[in-house]
Amino acid sequence: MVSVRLENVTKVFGKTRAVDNVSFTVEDKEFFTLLGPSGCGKTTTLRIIAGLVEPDDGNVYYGDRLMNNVPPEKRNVTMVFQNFALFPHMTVYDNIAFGLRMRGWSKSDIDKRVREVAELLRIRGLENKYPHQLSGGQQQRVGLARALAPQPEIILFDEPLSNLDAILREQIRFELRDLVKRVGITSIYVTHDQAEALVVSDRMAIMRSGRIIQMGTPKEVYERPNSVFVAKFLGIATILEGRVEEKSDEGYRFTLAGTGHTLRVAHSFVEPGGKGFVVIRPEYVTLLRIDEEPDENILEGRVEKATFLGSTIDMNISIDGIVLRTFVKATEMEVREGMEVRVRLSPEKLVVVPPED
Amino acid sequence: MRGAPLTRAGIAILTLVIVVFVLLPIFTVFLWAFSERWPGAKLFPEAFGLKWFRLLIESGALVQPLTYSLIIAAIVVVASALISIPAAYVVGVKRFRGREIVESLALMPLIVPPIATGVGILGYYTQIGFKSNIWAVASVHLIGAIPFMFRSLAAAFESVDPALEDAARILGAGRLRVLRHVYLPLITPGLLAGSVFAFAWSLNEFLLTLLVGLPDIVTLPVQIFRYVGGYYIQVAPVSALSVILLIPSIIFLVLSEKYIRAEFVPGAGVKG
Repeated sequence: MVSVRLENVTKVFGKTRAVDNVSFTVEDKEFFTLLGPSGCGKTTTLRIIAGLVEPDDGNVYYGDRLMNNVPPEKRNVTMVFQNFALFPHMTVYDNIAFGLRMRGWSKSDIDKRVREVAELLRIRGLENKYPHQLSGGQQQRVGLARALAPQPEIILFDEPLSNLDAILREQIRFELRDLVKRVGITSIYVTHDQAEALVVSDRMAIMRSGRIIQMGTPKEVYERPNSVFVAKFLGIATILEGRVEEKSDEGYRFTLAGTGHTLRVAHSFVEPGGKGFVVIRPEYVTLLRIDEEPDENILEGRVEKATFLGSTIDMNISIDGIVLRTFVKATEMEVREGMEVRVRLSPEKLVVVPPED
Repeated sequence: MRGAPLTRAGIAILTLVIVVFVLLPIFTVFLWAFSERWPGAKLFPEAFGLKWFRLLIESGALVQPLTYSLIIAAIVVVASALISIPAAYVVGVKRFRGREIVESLALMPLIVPPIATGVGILGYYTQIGFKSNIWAVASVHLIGAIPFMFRSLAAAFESVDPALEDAARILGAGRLRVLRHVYLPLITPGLLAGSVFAFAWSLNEFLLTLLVGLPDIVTLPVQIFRYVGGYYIQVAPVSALSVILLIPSIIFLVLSEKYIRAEFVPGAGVKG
């Protein structure tokens, strides 16, 4: 097992910088995710790590070994593909055995290992079928079995779940993370699905236009996005314009543009005096009852829209021309459209991010 | 269904064309070839038999030309495949600029009149003394065979999911082993189709064979034209030769059809 390190990696296709000066380290046995919209360079980055694409600039290390000039077949890395990429002319057995044969394993070792991974992925009994006879979920498992069989140091995932239906996708997510954690392989995962990234990752990097915008644990990145882009891309957020006024021990004062309301926010990526946007996640907004004493970060408004979602109610609250989105538990209180409400924004959770450039 | 009468009319015309220009002539050829006795006034032969085949074999007009034809066709199939596979791989798999130009350039030999290239080739083949042997004939057959082979193979390569190559390389296969274990099995239908065309082309090629092959190399088509002169035609022996010429093509087609069905889609329809 091994760590993976990228140093100032750049790849240019024609006029686009698909990967632009990207550096990061994935620790041994870590589950690392590259998350971003399509065309952000995440797949190219993954293919560079695999050796399928040669970087124009920069270095790729596995542990301390410089891998730049090592062809993919000589790297001990395997990959799970978006469309599974199973060999259509081979049985499930031969698909799983392929990597072992190429590595010159003996027949009996291959037999044993194929049985082992088939068991691990619960696909025993399918060995003699051809890929086109399998369901999408089964194909996915075969693809994963094939990637695990040669006992790679690193396993790469290129949107492995995006061809499955939503229910299956959600199931396999957990299972997949569990599995590679159990086996203990350094994993690098590419996806455009933020929910997926939050579930599977130890750490994640958010990419845009070939660059890494932010890196951290899912919790860090979700709770403290460093830009409007990350805040919008990850989860739901109301993003309001304003100005950072002053810094104190308790955080920053932030004035909302237009309304003049002042909020205390704990974190800011903008220096006092600068313009910025405050990121308000729905769960940082609490509705106050009439009898509760006001303390700080209280706004008054009116329920503009309330949508019943079963366990929660999705609300838009209009406050002097701005609209704040929040969820409340359906059992917690009776909400009607047009109702006057007071809300409190948890200051320790609020973050101010710089304007988009 | 609207348009059904039009479709039916189209099918009827197509059938008519096939009958008049393909089946009827072949039928006549078979009649002539297997006629034992056919007085001029009769519509059909009075007796059937292998008279003409016997005659061809005895006169030496069949065995030698047939052998040459088959050997040359086999060489052409193998050589055109070996030459076309790398080119078809690049054109079918790699996305590069000017790919379309390369593709249409590869078909050029089919547009250029063979007499033009033939005379030119004859010129320098004569100069280097490379003439009147099977290799010389096979080499000129490649001019027409390669475009067919190339086209079939390029289409076959194009139909292979490029992720399969990535998957194979990641799993430890170098480029040659990717070709052998992934591409070759998957392009087999295209390879067979290309082979059928290349084989048929070589078997039927006349003009270039005549120019480069004579005097020693007489293939079936050249032999046929020996029976068809300016003022005479010996219909029966020519028909017998034509039947011989038809057989390999028919066998090849049937075989490839069978092979593609049985091998390429294993257990089709047994969805589990």
